[in-house]
Amino acid sequence: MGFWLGTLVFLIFEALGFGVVHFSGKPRSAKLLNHTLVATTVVCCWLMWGIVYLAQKYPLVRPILQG
Amino acid sequence: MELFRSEEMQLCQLMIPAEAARDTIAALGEVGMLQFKDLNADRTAFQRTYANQIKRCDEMARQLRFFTSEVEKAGILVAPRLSAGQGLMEFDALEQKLGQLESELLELNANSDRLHRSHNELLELQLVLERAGTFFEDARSSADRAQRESATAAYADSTRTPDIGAPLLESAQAFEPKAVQLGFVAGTIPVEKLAAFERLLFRATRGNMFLKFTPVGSVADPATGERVEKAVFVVFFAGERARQKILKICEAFSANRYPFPDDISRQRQMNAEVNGRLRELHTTLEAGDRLREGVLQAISLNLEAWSIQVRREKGIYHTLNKLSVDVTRKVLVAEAWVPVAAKARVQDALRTAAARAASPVGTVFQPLVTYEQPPTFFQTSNKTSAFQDIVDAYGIARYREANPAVFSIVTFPFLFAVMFGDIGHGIIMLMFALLLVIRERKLAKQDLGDILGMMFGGRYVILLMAIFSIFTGMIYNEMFSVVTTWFGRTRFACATDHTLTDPVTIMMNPDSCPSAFSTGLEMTTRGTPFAFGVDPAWHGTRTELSFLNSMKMKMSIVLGVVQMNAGIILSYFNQRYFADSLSTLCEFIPQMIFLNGMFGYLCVLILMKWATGSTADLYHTLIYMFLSPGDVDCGGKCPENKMFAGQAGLQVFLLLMCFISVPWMLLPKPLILKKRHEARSQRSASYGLLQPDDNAYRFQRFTDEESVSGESAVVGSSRHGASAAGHGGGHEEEFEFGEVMVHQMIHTIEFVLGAISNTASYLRLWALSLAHSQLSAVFYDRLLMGSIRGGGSPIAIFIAFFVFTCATIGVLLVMESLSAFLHALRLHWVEFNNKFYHGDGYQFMPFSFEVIDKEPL
Repeated sequence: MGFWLGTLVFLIFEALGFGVVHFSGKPRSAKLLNHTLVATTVVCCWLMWGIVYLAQKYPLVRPILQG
Repeated sequence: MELFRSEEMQLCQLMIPAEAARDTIAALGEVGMLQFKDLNADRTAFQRTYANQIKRCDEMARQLRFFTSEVEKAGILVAPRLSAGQGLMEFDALEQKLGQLESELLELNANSDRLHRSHNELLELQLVLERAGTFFEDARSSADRAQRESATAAYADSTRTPDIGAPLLESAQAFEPKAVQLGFVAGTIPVEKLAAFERLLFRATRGNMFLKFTPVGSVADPATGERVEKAVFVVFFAGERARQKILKICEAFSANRYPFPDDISRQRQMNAEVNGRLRELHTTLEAGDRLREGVLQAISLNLEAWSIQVRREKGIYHTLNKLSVDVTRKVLVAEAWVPVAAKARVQDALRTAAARAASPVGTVFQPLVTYEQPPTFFQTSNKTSAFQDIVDAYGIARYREANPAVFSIVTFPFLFAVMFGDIGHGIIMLMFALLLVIRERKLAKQDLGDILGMMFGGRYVILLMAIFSIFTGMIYNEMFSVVTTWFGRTRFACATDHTLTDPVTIMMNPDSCPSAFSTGLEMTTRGTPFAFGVDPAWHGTRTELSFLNSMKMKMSIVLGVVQMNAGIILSYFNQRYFADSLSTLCEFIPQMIFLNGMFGYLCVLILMKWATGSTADLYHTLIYMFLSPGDVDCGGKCPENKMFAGQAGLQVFLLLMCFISVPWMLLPKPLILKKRHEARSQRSASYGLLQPDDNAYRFQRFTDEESVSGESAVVGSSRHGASAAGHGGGHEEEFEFGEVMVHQMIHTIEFVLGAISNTASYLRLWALSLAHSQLSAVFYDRLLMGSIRGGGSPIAIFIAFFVFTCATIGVLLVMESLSAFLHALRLHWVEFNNKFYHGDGYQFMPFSFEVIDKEPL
């Protein structure tokens, strides 16, 4: 549940980024490049977050404090 | 998107009327969008048409370099060029003026040297007069004294002739004075040579000489003009032969001799003369220097403009040398690569140049058909040029192939950040990058030196690296190795008492939760972990590393498989663009099957294990997938390894698919290419209509060694533009089956073995991030916290903080970031690029004044 919620947040960021690039008023080729960059960034960040999130769902070890 | 594939290029032919040639080329240099092919490649530099002009340009360049060095020596600053037309002169007029200035300057220099030399000689003469004068003074006074003494002491000894030279000999009293006239030589000699000089004189004259010397300090040597420590000496000798020897020895030791008169009155006269001449020389010298400086000032005003002009002329003549002269000698023919998008600008420039040269005929500008591979040209802005340079350092992209820079702009800083994740270090790096970016314009004009210049060139790379580092730092939850609680409360609590959630409190009162130190804290909300990043409870625990290592290693594998898949998909885009469906069937599909059958499946298992909390041992699963296929739970003894129903069957299926894909990658393509070649050669042996698919614009993926010809590709309108593969323009059909097979085998082996090694290579992401966080923790714990734990005196803390700062900046921010940069670069260049990038193109290097102006003279 939390995972999909987080993914939705990243999708919202992507939508925002898409909007910013789309209405930026640059020539078409620059817009295409910027779309690619924004999408790649969102995907990379989502991957990083998702992996760390999923890895902590059912951890196999427990934090043991040092005396 | 212009950065994804290189610009479309076209080979054009220009026919330039001979009288307008120079102006036309100059106009084209302003546009800067044409790369001229060398049509006279078989001729040497001396055989070319404009070799003479180039020699003249070289001569002018040498003169300008001479002026530059003279101006710099005089300490005058060279003024930058004020306007484009400043100092602009005709070529011949400029040559003449430069020659004139050079001879003037050389003459002034020679005069100045001569005057300086005389000046120094006179100074030395003055010193000699002074010092040698004192010798004789002393001698005379001691002679008088000795005479008086001997007169009083040895009253009767009147045979002794009062010789002015005699008392200089130390044992004058005991010596029988001979009636010999002593000659002497006076001069100056460098102090360091004095000992050797004395020894040699002694040996040469067999001891029959006397040398008296005194050091006079640092004097400007007339011959060299430098200041040397010198000494004034006087050598006394007897006899003509000794005199000759001594003169020769003085010459050998470059001792300057000066005529020193015996008489004291003549000495005084000479002194007065020397002083007078020195004064004259001073005024002459000053006047000469002022004149010289004036000339240099005048030169320095125009120096920059002339340098630029000479450089441009040289460039123009080099280009003109590349053109071939038509039979009628009225037209020069040029072949040049031009980006299709720049054709309009080039045509405009040609028109204006023709108008300016007032030639009756304009330049003809028409496209040519060719099978040659065009150069690669990417239009980069100042923000993207650094990333493109990084890709180009690996290899220039082949014409119109997918450019990895588009994705590297993001993935390179991202992978750097995975290895460098720390909020605090990221912030410091961000401040540095912002400093470089905000003062961009000012810093661009300065000469920053090698290291800082390189960092300035990559300022946008550093900026992105810093921003991503802050993000990954927030995910790893590390700020200078201290954990942050910005994203909420920890999900862990004491196993026995769920209200105790703060690890710090538990550590302060260990009795409140003894289980925390033996079996550990418990996650209160299993299945709903910390919302963003690593839970802060892990920091400082005994099991922190075992948890983080497992997580980071799996993360590296997942990121690696994703990037490699992206690379293979890019190769598919290339194959689709060049209409190479054979490669798609015989390379792309089996590669995807092989990589994803093994490592994609591993990633799926990783994700499943995380999502379900299974305790399966994935190492065991993957290894035994190959060792004992079909047996997932080791014959019932390890039931936890079975993660889903049908896993055994799926694994066997994937294994079979991987086995099939290897010969699929290896065999079909060379065999099909061979059949195509045979079919083509059969067809061309008989006259017939060209088959429809011969006319298709085909760009066959060609190997490094041989060229497989494409069908009749026509340059010009279509986006499958220029070519079939021919190295060097041949559309001859060369097809060596042996070579193609070997090449395919190398490719297959590389991919199959690389699948494992490249995937494992991505583990460096884990390794470096572990190293970074451990180093950072050690510096924090031992330096900062150590000084507080060990007493806490303010001075100790101050010193410890200083050492901590130096360690952070030196080791973590400089060394670690260079290391992470290098490894991220390697991951891109090897593991990502070798899935799709050919990188065997050549750079588009147009004839452009912008480029030429920046070159050194």
